[in-house]
Amino acid sequence: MNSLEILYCTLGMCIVSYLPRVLPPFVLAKVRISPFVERWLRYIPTSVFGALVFSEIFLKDGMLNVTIANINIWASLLVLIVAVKTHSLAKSIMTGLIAFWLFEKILS
Amino acid sequence: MAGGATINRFFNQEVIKAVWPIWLGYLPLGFAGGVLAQKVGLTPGETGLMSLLVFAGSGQFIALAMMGGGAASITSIVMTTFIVNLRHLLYSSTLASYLMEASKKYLGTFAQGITDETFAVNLNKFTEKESDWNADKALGVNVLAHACWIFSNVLGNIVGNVVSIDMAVVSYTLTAMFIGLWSFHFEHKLLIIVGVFSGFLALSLSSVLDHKLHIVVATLLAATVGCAAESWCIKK
Repeated sequence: MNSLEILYCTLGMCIVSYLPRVLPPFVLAKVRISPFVERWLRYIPTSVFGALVFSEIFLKDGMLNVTIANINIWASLLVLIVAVKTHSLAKSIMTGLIAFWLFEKILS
Repeated sequence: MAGGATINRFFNQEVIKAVWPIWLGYLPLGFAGGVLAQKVGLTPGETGLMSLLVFAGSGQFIALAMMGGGAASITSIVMTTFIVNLRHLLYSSTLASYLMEASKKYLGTFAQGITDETFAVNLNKFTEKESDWNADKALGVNVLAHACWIFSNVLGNIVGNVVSIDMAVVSYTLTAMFIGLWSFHFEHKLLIIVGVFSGFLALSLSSVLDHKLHIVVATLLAATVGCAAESWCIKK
């Protein structure tokens, strides 16, 4: 790709990335949110996180990876315990990094 | 000192405390993105422009991989980016209910900063017990995360050949952050069950839905099931 093509490509990507981000608040400002939708929205966060976390842990290059050698699983169990016990994001992330790094060293 | 007070609305200690886990993840991830961009033939300026205008981790990685492959047309790269970033529609809609009073100019700026990570952090701050999180602080998180993303991408593009990083550990930072943020939503059993259900749903859908769409579909389905389960429990 030459630099003009890269520029066009970037601008195209910019438009299609910006639209889904910017349209909802403008559209939703015009409609009243019903109590049903409000209740439904309460289940969105846990659902998003569940979907993201499971994908990050168990998918590798789009393939399911459920083996003992998948370090993600073990590190994530530790992170989950620390997160639930301490309610601290900092401690959770640090635990995850150290655990992941250690498991990687041990298994390689 | 009026100027200083204005700045403090957006960038204060509370905002830094909220954004640092994102920085921790974006620095190495953006760096890796910059290295990839450099390999594909983008200049530091082009990398910076893409990071400013697109600001999407997986979107940029996939686009760069397609650019490098040589066979992909601009249209197909743009379409793929669109599909990969469709999930921001969900995030933006969810956050919109907390930003009802914000101006159009604000919403236009805030929107560009919505990613998996900034959405997750802002939503948690908004839904915290006795939360005093507001639109200004949320914008602060988005802008600081975005700035870090641009910086690390450009840096990776410039010095990428000199340093090597462990990508597995890097991407795990954000996974750990998501687990932490998720656990803060475990207020009652049904919320946990719905989340885990959504996780399994995402895994089973991942083989049929490409480009992260499985996240969106799993989320919408799981939330609907959760809602239905709640009504059923109340009726009983």
